[in-house]
Amino acid sequence: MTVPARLPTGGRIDRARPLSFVFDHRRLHGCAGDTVASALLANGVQLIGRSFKYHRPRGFLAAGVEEPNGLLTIGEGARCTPNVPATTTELREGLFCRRQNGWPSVDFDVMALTSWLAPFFGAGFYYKTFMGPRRGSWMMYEPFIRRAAGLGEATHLPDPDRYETRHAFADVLVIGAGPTGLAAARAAGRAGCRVTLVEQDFELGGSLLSAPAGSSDADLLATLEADVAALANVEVLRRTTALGVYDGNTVVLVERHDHARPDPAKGEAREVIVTLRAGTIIHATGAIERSMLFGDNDRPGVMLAGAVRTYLNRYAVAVGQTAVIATNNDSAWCAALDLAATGAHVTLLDERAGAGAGLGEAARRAGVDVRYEVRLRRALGGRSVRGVEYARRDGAPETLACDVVGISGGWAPTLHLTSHTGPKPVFDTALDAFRPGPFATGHYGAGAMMGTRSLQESLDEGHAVGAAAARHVGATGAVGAGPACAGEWPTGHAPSPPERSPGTGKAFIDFQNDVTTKDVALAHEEGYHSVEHLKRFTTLGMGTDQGKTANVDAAKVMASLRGIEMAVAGTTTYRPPYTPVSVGALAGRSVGTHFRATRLTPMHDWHLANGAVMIQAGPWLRPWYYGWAGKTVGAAYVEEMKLVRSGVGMSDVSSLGKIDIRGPDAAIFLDRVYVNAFAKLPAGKARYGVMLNDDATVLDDGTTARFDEHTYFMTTTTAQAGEVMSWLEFLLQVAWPELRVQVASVTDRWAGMSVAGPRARQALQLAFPGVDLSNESLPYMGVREFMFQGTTVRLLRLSFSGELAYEVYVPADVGTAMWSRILAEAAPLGIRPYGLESLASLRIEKGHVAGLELDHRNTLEDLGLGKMASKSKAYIGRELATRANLRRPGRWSLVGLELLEPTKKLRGGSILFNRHEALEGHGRGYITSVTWSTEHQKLIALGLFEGGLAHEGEEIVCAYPLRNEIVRARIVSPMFIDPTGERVHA
Amino acid sequence: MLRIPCPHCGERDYTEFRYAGDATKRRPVHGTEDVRAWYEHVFLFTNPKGPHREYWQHVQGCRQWLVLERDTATNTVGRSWLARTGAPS
Amino acid sequence: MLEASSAIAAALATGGHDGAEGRRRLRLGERRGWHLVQLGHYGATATGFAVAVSRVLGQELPCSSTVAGHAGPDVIMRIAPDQYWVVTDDTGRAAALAAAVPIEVGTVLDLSASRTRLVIEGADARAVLAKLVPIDLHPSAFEVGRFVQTGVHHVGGLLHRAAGDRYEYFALRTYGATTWEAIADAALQFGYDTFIDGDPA
Repeated sequence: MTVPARLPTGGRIDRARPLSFVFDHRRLHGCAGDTVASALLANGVQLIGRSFKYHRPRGFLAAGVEEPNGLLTIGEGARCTPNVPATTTELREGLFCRRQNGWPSVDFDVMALTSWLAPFFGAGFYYKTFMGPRRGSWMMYEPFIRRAAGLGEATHLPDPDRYETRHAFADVLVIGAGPTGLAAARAAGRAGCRVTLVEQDFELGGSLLSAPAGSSDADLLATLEADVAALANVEVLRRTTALGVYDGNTVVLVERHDHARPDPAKGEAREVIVTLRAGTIIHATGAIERSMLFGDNDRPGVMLAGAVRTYLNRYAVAVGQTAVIATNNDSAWCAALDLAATGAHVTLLDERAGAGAGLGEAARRAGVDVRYEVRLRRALGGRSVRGVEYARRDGAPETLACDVVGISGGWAPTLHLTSHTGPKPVFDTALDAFRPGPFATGHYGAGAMMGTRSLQESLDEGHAVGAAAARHVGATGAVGAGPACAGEWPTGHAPSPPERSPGTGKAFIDFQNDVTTKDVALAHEEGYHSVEHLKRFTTLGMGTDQGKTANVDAAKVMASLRGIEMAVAGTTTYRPPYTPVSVGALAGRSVGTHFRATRLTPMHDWHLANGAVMIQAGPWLRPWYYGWAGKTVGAAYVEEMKLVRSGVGMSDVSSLGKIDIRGPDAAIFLDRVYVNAFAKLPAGKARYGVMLNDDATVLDDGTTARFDEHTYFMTTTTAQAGEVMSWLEFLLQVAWPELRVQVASVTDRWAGMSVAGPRARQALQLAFPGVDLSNESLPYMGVREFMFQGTTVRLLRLSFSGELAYEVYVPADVGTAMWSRILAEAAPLGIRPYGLESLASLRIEKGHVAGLELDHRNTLEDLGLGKMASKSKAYIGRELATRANLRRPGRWSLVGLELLEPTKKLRGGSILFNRHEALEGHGRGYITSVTWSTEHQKLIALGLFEGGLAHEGEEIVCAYPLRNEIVRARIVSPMFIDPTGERVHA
Repeated sequence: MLRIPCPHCGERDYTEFRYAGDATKRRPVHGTEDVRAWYEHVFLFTNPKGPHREYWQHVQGCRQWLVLERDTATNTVGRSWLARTGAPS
Repeated sequence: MLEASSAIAAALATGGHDGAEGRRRLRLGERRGWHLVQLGHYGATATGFAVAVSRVLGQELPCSSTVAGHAGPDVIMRIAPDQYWVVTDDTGRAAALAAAVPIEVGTVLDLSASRTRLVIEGADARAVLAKLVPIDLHPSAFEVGRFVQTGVHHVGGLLHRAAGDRYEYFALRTYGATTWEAIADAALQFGYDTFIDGDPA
């Protein structure tokens, strides 16, 4: 049909604002207030796509989110979005859209041949086919099936738009701005609550929008909208869908801004995800019309009766001239009457024996031809409906010519959101539909969503729950009387038959996934009885519409086949999102550089300006290596290591966790936490400490310095800083609240730099003239705090590298100044900065365990630190360390490894085996850290090996299966340099 | 989105906190040499379905350890109190 | 004297940004030249601690865990049941408090330079912050003087409503730059000018 169907008057569209858009490369015209669907129908477009499996021609079934067929690709290039329902897409100037799923075109679709093969494509056919000729054959069929499957096609281009998130709070959240929701927001707003009213449509009004202009419904809508707009404490969000309801009365909403042409370059977001925490939630989400089960009920031109009325009254589109309206309830009579008023010829087929009061008379006056106790059997026509076949029960079929069929099988409450966290839906036999179960405190439902069909009752319920919600949050303002409607809606209805009508032709239940009543029967036959199994086996309800028009019928048909009550059959669990949402919106601003927070040291800008190549280490950005040392990390770290071992280098160690611990009981506290003694550590000294978890595995190691009797300065590994801080807080707040200790993280307070190498003392003497740094004055593991040029300086003589070394700490705001000073003053000694790669390499050579060795399963003994454990005091982990399994001689413990094959590589993570055994299974250990040893001029490693240093001197095998590498290595002491510690004591 | 009442800061999203396990057990006194007592404390839990008391730490807030009443079956949240002060009567 | 530097020097140097309407409706900046002292007491010493500290401050410590107190120009915030922040411009504050509070009674810790103090000012400040902090910022819930410790991007910080349209966010210094970027990005649609307050230089 190509006759333009826009009526000259009526509707809520604005004819004074015409819009042009492109559909399948044709330029068409609509108006402001149109959806893409209404505009297409106004232009006489009826064939809107091809169905998913059978490629049958399809037109619009509905006018809202429940639309299963009318999915278009909207937009071009990087903004191309497939599978968008045209029924909910607001028309805007220049919109580009096209049909999907037809080849070469939707009008002439070769894939429609699958319709002929339909008997082979019943539900679950893919579980039984594509299995041969041999194992793995599926991969042969997969590319073809992949190309044939799906509806629209997504773009691979990056999304150019901007998406945001925001946090919101409200006393009352009202979901749905139909008459019920508006009444609820009005009441709660008058009571003084902070109300947020959300409506997914671009206009408020819900079902009131489908009434003719000038009707009492239209007047009621205008009044309600004005009442709500007058309340400053009521926030109204249009084009905003509630996607899901979560614990803590949290609702996630998506606000859409496409209509306003957001410019990402100006910071304007296309969609905003709003996380709203509500004091109370009112569900006023209305109901969705059900279709009917008859042969070929999917022909273009077969629509829900309510949709026919909506297109007519809201969009001024007459979808047909000769209409058949088939129904089991009163509401469809309104569609019939409104259509007849435009001059269309209307025949109404009612399954019941009679209709609501006054309807028969109204139909007579309007010239609507009514037949009772008849049921549709089949829609006639191919790419467009041209007639129907109907019959009385046991009667002979008759036909009628028509160009549109409006069907109404009843109304199903839109209860999806209520069941996300809330009660399971219960079947109401009188209503012939599922209703929400009892609500939790603070949740309310009203209107059609609760099964109410009367307009006045809906308004009353909305008003009542609005007032109740307000009382619940303690608002005391006067709500006054609820709104009154001048014209009531007819509410009579009868249950739908639990099986399709007799006759031929496929009776579709789920239009989007091409699921028919026969498929439900097949599922039943194969034993997939429960609604959850029915859903997965047939894919019913798994499309983008989530079976919104299909779920009740599916449950009824299966229940009937099983011979059980609907209350027993139940319905599937509804989960968020209620309608599809862009992945971009869910990502929000967590993209690109904003993906995660980045932590920078105080000297960051200096590093960037001086040739550092940075690397991500957890949240930190740290210098990996410096340009002065080489162009690649492999070359640079060796040069940096050489400098530290022979001269002096400086490294940024600000990322180490630093904790201030002070109080009269600080000493006792540390004694309990560390395995070794700290209470008697003299002021002015530091000590390497290890702390265990309660289960005796190593939690962390670090160095703790004592600055005075009651003040300690603890360092932790970078990775474990947060863990350790929480642990210390637990011990002080929960385990030992009687201890007089305060702890505070000072990681950000201090910038730290390590000056290391044989010339380190000389370098620092140049940087701090006048401070006595002699070996006697500041011995190994000594600490000093002094003022220098108005700044507090903490100097700790600690060595991570095994060379003579000092750590210099200053307040973070002068970190760069101090760093630069040391480099400048010690320049004559050849001092240079060195990065994380060489920092790690130096400590591996020294045999220091670090994060890579602490695997949260190993013990002190495993790491070769057993001697550290005090024998005279209790410490955390002491008792469980005695467990027999933790003392087995065969445990994997720390060893050094040297590579025996100079042309090959050692790799971290390699699995270790004895020389002559099969390379299978868990092996006997693994490599934890690898580096090039400048001392020994070969690759060395640290690792954990079964039996540890009891096998010193033995040759073993390192296997790296990811690269098929097998190399020979020897077990050696992990202390590759200076085992007696001469250098650090220099 | 669980909302947790912090005794110091007020109700907040659970994402500001770190979950820290069963709060119904008593930690053995430091230095207790009974290995069995430590074993039971560290490794054995009753894991009830229903009302429970558990530790959370408000790591992005006041850094306080609190005990929260939560129903593990319905995720309904009840009262909370600072771990150091003990349950309100 | 060693030269002090800011964690967001590079970001501030790039200046402001026009918003969607070509205007700059917000001011985003940094407050410098201030000091932070963290005070704490033990379980049994709350009273003695309060006495000692109030003598130095010249008034009582605030009890509220949600509203900041003031001692002259200093802002005092009770960040935990047993911990307080003193935000001051007075370089001698930390030493004065340390001298007045014996270790048996409580602790005084100079945390200067550990935080970057970001300022967001303007009628749209609330809208910008609502994108970042999961806190109810409605005036009925967040009055002038209120402070909260919360997280931006899962990193903890402290937000204080210093005046009607002026909010200060105390970010960990090492997260200062990334926090600034998040705020500036959230402010993009409104447009903003940058500024520096209180620079001793």
